Amino acid sequence: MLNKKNRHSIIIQNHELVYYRIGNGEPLLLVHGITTYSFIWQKVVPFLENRYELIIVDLLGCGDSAKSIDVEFSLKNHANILAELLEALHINKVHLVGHDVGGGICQIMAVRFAELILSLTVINTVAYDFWPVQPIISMRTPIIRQLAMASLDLGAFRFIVKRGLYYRERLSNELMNCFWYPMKTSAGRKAFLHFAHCLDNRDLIEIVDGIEQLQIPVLIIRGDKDVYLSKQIAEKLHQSIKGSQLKVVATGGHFIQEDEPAMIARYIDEFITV
Amino acid sequence: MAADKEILRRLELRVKELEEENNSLSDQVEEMLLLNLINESFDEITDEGMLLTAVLEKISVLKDIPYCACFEFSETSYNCLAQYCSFYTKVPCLSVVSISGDLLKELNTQSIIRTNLKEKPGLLTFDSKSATFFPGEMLAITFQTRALNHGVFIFVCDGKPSGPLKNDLLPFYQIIRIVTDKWDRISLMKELKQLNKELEKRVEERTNLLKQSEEKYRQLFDMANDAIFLWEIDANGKVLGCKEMNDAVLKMTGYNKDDLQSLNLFSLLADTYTQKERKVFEKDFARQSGILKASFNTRIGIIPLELHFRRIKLNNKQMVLAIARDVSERQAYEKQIIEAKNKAVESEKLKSAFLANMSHEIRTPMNAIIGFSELLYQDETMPGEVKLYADIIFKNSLHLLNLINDIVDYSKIEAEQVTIWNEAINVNELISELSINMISILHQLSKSHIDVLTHTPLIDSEAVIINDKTRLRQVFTNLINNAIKFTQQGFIEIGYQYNQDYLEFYVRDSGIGIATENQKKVFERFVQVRDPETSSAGGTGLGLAICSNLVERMNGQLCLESSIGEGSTFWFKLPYNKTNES
Repeated sequence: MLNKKNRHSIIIQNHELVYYRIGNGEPLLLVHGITTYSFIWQKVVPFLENRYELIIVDLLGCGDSAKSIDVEFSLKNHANILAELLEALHINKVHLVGHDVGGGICQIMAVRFAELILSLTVINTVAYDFWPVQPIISMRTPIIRQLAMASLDLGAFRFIVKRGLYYRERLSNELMNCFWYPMKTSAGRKAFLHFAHCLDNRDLIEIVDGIEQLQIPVLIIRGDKDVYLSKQIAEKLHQSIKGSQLKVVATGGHFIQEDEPAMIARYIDEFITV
Repeated sequence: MAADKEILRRLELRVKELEEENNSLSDQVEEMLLLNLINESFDEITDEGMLLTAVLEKISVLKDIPYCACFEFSETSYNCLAQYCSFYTKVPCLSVVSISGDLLKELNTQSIIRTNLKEKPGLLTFDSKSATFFPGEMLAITFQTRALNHGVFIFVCDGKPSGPLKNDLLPFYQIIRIVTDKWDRISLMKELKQLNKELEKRVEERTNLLKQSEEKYRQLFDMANDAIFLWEIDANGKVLGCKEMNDAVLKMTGYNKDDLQSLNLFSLLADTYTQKERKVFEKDFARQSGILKASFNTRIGIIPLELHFRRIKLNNKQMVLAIARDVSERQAYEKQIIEAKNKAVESEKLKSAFLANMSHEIRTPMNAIIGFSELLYQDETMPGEVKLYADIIFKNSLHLLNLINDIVDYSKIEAEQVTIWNEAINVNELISELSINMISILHQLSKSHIDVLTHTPLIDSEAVIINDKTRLRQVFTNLINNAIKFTQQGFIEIGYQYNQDYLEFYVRDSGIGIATENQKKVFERFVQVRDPETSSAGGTGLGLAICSNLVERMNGQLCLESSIGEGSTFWFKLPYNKTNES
């Protein structure tokens, strides 16, 4: 978990959004994906906080942010909410870093709010309609079903988290508690399922053209051992976006921030600095 | 081509078959997972509310059924026990749904109802509308548990995006079966807990009562003035030792618990009892209950105890509960009472005798006085007769006066009103005076032939004692009168013997003497030793009692030596000091 002294909250679209503001320098907005929240950046923060002002959010329905399900948790709406957040914080220009569906949100932001964005880094991101990836149980069981089961059972959730790590032996009780924390309440579980239900490929299909015409620097980081998202996503993005960089981390799983935090931070820093 | 088409068609069929098989397998896996999840999550649940909420959430999430609820119902009413609505942020208060009367009727007659709310929207209405949820197919399955006679699970699917419920309802039955089983277990546990609680409460109440009672009896036991013991005895009735005792035991006997722990009660019997008596005591003690009166050796001395005992059974051991009371005071008191009673009886007897005697003694002179006074009153009385009568009246009056004086004296002595006035007495002079008086009386009584002797060994100047002269003279006079009364011939001697610290005064006569058996009695009140020969002696019977008392008050003691026919000597010692000389 991130240090509570850096914790702030703001009301956006009538709901409380929790974010952390750490360090000094050019602003960097870090956006998590589904099944995680701000804590997923905890190991990366120490490598970046001395050079950047880090804005780390808990997306609505996640972490400590409001769990209300009467708001749309689509990628598009999350992108809108984050844009409102930047405006409220008077941040005019920002480097975007997104993980998992957070990468999708960042892609939408980069296309829709191009004037705000300095650069885009996506880590094990969703894109196009290549996701959800191979379901586990059968062809017709969508990933939502896995997530649904995971939301109800710590064992199933641990299974998902463990498969998402390269260094699986590093899954401590402490780390598992971080993942499980929002699932402890009925409201948390409901919000999580609502988020999963709201995921819609069409949000990303809409911006395919915009993505290919991006004028800002783009960095694509891929954990080679990510079992949840296929490597074709990263490869296709790299091919489609001219001038984009692709870094493949051989020792990275889906939750690569836990596997190789220093490496991720170095790639981001080098990418932005150049 | 046709063959290829046929192969393709077969392959497509095969793929379809495989897909169906696959779907069926995945369904089974899903159901198993669901049941597994539900079963596992039950371990920590202790309350049916929690149980229902957890199950409804799992069914809703895993079966993708937006509204799942559990109601209890009757023919006319219903009450929501738990519900889960995936389309609300929080589980709202338990009044999202209204069940129509028609549905209630159906629930009372059918155990399972499956219908589409799109076609019959009035059956079940949602009170608050949701933008994302449109009621579709509804499944209601009734159930029964120990605690609930009419319960129903209601599941409502979303009518818009998702399809209808699967035809296979087995998983629902399985889940409901698991839930009701668990529910029964919970209510049994609750009943058990409640029973346990009540039992604990009753045990506590009883324990408190017992404690209070024990405390009360312990206080009674400890505060009792009587010594209370609990003696353990073996099968043969042998006393093994004292297992409990109260504080009074220590106070009464000086023994403590350690002393009596392994001591036989009968080893404490006073040494004066014979072996036979001891046996009797032990035999008595072997009875179921009784009272034992015996003296026991204690640290304080030998004390008489009254021991009330009773056999009881305590913790499978034979015990004797004994309550002992020190009866020494009571015994002394009883003795005093008996003595007092005897004395009173004796006194009563003597008083009766005295009265009989006195009435005679007083009546005789009174009769003489009255008779002769009457004669004097007559005119024909001769002058010589007057003198004679007057003399008789005078003598009888004197006799009566003496009698009354004696009675008054004795009354004074009895009432302890006699005071001794000490003064110097020359005993030689006193004896001389008394002897002269005695000669005169003897002469009057025509007993001049009796010799009067005196014995005064001290020279006059040394013959002085400090005492009450009047009382001493009274004692002597009385003894001399007795001597005169009971002596017909021989001598009467008065005097004293000198000893270092005292003078031994005596009056000796050669009279009739007193039998040995009567010698003690003569000093008692109202006693006159009479025999037929001397019955004419007269007197009150108080004289010697008065003398004995007076001598005692003068720090002496009146004694008698006598034998029948040889005479009597009354003597008494009074303190003497040569320095009294002055």
